[in-house]
Amino acid sequence: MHAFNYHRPSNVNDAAALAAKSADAKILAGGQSLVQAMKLRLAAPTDIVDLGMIKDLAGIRVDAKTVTIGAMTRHAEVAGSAEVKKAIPALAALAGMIGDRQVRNMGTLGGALANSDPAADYPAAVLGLGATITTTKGTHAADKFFKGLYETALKPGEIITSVSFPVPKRAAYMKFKNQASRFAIVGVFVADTGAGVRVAVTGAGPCALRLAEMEKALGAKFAPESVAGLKIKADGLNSDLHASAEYRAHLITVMAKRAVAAAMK
Amino acid sequence: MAFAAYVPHNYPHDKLEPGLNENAFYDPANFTFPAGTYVCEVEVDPETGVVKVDRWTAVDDFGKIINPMIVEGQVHGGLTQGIGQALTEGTKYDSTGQLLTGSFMDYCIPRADDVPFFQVDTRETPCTHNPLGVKGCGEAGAIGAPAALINAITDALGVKDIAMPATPQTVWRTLNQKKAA
Repeated sequence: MHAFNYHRPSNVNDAAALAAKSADAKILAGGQSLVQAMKLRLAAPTDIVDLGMIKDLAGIRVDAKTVTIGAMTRHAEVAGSAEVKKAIPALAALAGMIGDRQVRNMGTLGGALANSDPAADYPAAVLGLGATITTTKGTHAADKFFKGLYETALKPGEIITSVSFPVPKRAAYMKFKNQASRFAIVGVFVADTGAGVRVAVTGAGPCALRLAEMEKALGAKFAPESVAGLKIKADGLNSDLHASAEYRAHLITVMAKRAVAAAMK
Repeated sequence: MAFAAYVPHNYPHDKLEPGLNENAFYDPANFTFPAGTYVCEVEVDPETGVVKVDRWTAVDDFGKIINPMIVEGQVHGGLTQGIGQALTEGTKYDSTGQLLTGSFMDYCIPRADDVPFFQVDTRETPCTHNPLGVKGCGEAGAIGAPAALINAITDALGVKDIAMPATPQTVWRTLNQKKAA
């Protein structure tokens, strides 16, 4: 690991100011991706701005229509929250599938979204539920947030403060895990919301993406057979030593079908 | 005498080195020949290619067993290693010789939830050519497990062979090839 300046601000405005000061500053949320990258010297930030002391960035608030989760809320807290389990069980279940126990006790919602790892789980829920991402500079709709491989709509120095998930009528997440890392090779989040059906996929493309064709089919009839016959094109999907683009395309259909079945239970 | 050699305060150091050594080499009359039979049951998800190892029974003849608990642990470890070889562990290189499976994020060592509860039993036929009547045990599980597991998979898929490791993608491809043929 290379040397860096360490900052631990006590409020989010100071954090944003510190992060904006240096072009090579990085924000430390849970550190489950950034610290690994620094140890491998793939990342060499000049400054680390640790959000760990900013108390009001963490916490869960649930009302009749929305689940709002602070950016620094750990995955384990979301997975174990009785309120989240009641309002959006699929969201709590998804948080409980991330990494392993150690990762879930450190990793955060805001960190996962800002990093936009192509195989991360949370982007599927954010996009699948049509969540709103609140930052120090305003709000982002989920549909306009994920821009590409490790790329989001966040500007330099812009910090996610919370995410609001609209409560759907029913939803489910199905994840096909990489055997070794247990990241998503393909994860499909299906939500039947008041404003139609949303289907979001993670692991298969450069970032989380929606499947219009499946949403249309499920909008007409919300049942596994509506998507079981829909073949996804492999063009542009990820291909690596664990799974070819063709295998991923096939898995999207299988996981979508199973997610719909799970949502109907 | 050993103590005098170890704490040589009144040794004639110019004539004698401290310490006490003795070497002996045991040349056994023959190798030992443990034998065993493994039975495993798998479930294959035809849509994803995922193989789940459901049940496993291993019966081995290790001759005279002195510590049964250690023997059982050795068999558990060997079986798990064999299951890893058959299902999850594979080294892959790119065209320039760079190892792609260089960390446990990519190289999959089986974990507790990848293996079933093992039913382990032994039969005792003492070895005739060593005084203890014992036979080798350490590698038995790792030798028998891949054969039993791959046989179970090929039986489930109705094919003659499948390459190790039989990862979900490999199983899925094998099923597709079978369908196309």
